[in-house]
Amino acid sequence: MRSKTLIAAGLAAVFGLAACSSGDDDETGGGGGETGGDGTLSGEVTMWYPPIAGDAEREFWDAKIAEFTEMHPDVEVTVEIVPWDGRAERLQTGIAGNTTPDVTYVLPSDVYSYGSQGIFTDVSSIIAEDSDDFLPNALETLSVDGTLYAVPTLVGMSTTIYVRDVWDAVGISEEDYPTTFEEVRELAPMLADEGYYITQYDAAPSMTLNGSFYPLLWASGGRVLNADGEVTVNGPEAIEALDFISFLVDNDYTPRDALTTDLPVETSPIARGEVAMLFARSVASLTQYGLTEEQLVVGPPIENTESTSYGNVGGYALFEGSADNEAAHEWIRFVTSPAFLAEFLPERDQLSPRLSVTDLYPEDSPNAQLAQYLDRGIVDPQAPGGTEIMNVLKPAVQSVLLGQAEPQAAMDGAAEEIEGVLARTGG
Amino acid sequence: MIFVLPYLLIFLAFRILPAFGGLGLSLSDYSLTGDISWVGGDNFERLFGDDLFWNALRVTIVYSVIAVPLVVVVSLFMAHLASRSIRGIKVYRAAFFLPVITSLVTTAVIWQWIYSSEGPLNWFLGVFGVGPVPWLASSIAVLPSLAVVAMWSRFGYDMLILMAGMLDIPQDYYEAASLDGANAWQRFRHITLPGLRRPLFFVVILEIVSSFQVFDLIYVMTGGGPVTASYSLVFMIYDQGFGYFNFGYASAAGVVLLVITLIVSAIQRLYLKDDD
Repeated sequence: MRSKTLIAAGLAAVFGLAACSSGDDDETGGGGGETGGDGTLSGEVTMWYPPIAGDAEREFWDAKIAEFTEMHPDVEVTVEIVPWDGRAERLQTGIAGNTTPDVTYVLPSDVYSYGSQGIFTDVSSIIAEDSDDFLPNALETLSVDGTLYAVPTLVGMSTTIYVRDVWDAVGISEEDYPTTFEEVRELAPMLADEGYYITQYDAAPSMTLNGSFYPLLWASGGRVLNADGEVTVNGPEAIEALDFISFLVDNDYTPRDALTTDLPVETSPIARGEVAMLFARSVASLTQYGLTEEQLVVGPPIENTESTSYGNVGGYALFEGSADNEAAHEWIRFVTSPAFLAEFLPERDQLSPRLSVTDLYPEDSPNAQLAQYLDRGIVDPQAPGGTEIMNVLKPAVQSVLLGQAEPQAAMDGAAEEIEGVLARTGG
Repeated sequence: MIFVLPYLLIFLAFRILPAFGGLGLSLSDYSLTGDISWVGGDNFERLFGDDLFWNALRVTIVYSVIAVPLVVVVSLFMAHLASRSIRGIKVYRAAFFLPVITSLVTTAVIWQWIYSSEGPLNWFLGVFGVGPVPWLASSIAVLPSLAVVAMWSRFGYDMLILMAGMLDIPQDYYEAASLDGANAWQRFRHITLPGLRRPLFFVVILEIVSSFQVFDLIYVMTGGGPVTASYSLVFMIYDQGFGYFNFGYASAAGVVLLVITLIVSAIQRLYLKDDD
């Protein structure tokens, strides 16, 4: 019983242990790297990378490591595939315990959280020679206050994706697919009469707002934070977006379970072919439901007053402790080189952050279609407390959709909390 | 002493020292870069002024009030059934214990499906024209629904403890009571329950501690929702620590939980001491 009692201290203990080990810098990163007198590169590079391509990652990376070490025989590269689940926790505990690798795959929110804290280092010198080849907005997205903290390796665009079979079943042709809030409102009842949901709005706490509320807020002209970093998420645009979602929820035009539960992929209405369109998804996120690329039609981001959606950028960040690891620099150059990306991106259904890497997909394929909307992709908020801000907004949005709060009151409350978050995180 | 030394060292290293570390952390502001600054009671001041904390405490208490009696009553009933000498009883006992050794995540995913609007439970209710009931989507139903899952996954363990207690009660008492004309309920009320006093109290304390630490089910099934209707204290500690990097603040919440758990354990110690 006594030991049971102390389990309560366990979680706090984790933090305690982390604190105890934080002073030791020696374990950070790999074995370092240097260029010898004869110009040969030597050392060790370790990298954390998530399984974007699923089980195929291990084989791919082993082959690429072999390719790299053929060019640099004295460099030892280790790529550790880190599962998506718990990725953020692993990154944090690694940072806190000084057990980070040299390089890690990052998303924009990681850059905003860690970049300004001196955890990642400036990587602009690594791509100094060919920085003009990178999409300017991709570089900007992975920068904080003008400092580039990660070299882009992929760009992804979330936009409206239609399921052709559903629209065919109700007799609506491609040119008549809804592209605005108004058109969605008009067509939703007709789809419901035929037994289909017009969309699946995911509001479970585990789901990101980048694929649900944010794109609808942006489509209405709103932003979580404005250009000056002020909280604007309680503006009329947010209320308009919430009214639109409430309309879908209240009339059962979107599955109710999805409001509170992260629906299992296999049994979800999307997998069962009951959903006509998704507002902010990538092609890759839908093929996992068993939908084929032939069934998917890519459209512009949903529009109310503007057509904007989430533009994701993935990149490689170098930890501060490995800033001088020349082998790590060379490895990052290698994994973001045009030749590498031409092989890397199609397997992951992603688009290129480099202008010179083109024609990755057949002209009419959904992935090729996505590329035309890249310039409409944004990331908001671009602040250190992005994750916390999102977690403040999730219950606020959910409370409105479940009829437990008035939209304005919920957003005002959330805005107040976000002010507190910004004050604490220096956003 | 030499035999207990390894355990003592491990206990000190992985329980006591980290607990003190957590206590120290709750009085400081800790950043990921390793910078620690002393803030005294600021984290606790913020905690006690935070609506989210009070909501988490309320959720935890309400959940415990529902879950603890539910688990104990079901465990008691099942222990009563499992203590009978009937053919194949060992198979039944093993079957009842299966949920205990089943991964809680697996259990949670299965129950998530059972509770879904198109799941078997709502299908069954639909036969009688009821529902669908939003088991996990309603702020009112979510905690009882989670408590049922906790009951399912924990009753087997408690059942074993109580069953051992029941088997320890001399059969003579029951035979004498039967001769005196006591019915089944009277035998249970006047012989079984008093005989189970110590194991029953142990089970109750075990379940209170377990309920106060509920996390896995919430993490998998509701994520603290709907809104914050299942946002428990341990979930808050996790959320603040690993979601927001507020390690000092999360540790402060951890210390509060530790104090609550210590109080519950102290009551148990006192009670059993009196009993001796």
